[in-house]
Amino acid sequence: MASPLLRYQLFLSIGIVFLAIWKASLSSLDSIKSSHHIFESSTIIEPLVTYLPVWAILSLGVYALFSVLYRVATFGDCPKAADELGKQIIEAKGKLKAAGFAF
Amino acid sequence: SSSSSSSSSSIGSGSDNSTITTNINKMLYSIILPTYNERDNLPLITQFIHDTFTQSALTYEIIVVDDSSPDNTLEVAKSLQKIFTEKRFVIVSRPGKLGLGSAYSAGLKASSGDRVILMDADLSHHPKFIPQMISVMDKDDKNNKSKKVDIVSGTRYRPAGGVAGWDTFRKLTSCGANFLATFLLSTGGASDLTGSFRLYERAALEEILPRVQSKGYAFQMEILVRAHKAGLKIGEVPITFVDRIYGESKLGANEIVMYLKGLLTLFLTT
Repeated sequence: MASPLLRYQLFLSIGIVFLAIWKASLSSLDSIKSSHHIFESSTIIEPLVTYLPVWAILSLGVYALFSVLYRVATFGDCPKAADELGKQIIEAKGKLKAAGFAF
Repeated sequence: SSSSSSSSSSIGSGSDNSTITTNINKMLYSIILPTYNERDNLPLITQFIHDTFTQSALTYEIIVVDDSSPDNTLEVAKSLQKIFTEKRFVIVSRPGKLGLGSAYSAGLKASSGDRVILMDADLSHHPKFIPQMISVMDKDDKNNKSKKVDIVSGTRYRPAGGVAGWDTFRKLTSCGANFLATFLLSTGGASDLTGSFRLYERAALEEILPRVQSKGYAFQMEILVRAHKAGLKIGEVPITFVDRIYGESKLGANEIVMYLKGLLTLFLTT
């Protein structure tokens, strides 16, 4: 490809690949079930595959939610910076007055 | 202000080449300050900048771009010019509120520095982080000498960085917005996309600034996205951000909608 993909094109491509995988696994649901004895007796496989896009979106949402909550929980509060600034403002005002600045 | 001294102890990459360090010390740093109603803060930020640069034996020039502030910031700027000299304090006066992007462009045009610092004039950014940004920019990349840092972004979201004065709601919206942007856009690992405290190589800013179209918080984001797309290298320094000691900075529904629009546009066009 001559030019790199635009961001939305990348997302679109991933979406198309995902849909292709989903369609393929839907049509071969029976062969998936019979591929391994665990899958045969499992009741999860069919709803999992049938609603794969929903699970994918939900997982994404959960990941997003937890990422943001984690960020907020570990957010750097720095009240000291505000105090330091207050002190430096007073110092700076003194220097400016000394240099002839009229407030 | 003092001209560059032969001492190279305050900054530098630890390189043995004394010519390189002396050249770095001789570099002129232009600090562009767009102002609108900042008559109280402008003298203070100027003094802070002067102190930081003098202590680090670096040379600065401040470019004030004032959009005809009704509180007469221009008058204050002129008095400061008398104290700090016209060489160190340049004033660009504009006829009205013409937007941040054009203020940066106007400031850039009026500046002569080899490197440019964009920051806020309302004391939320502290110049004390600038020498750290310079160190990051000058750091020798031993593995890959050709990939020098073009932009150093001050980030509030890494350890050692942070904000004073934000309530939980503000933190939620900021972290949410940042997550959304880093997910949807390609930003080369930058952690603070809407931050406005950055050090630029002059060439990098001249290349990217004309391409930026967004308004509001998305403006700063677009700079990083376009820079990354152009192959420029972005470094980071954790900074502390003291949110407007005279009242929290504005974040209403308008700003949020504008941000989302900007985000969507970048998603579709980069």
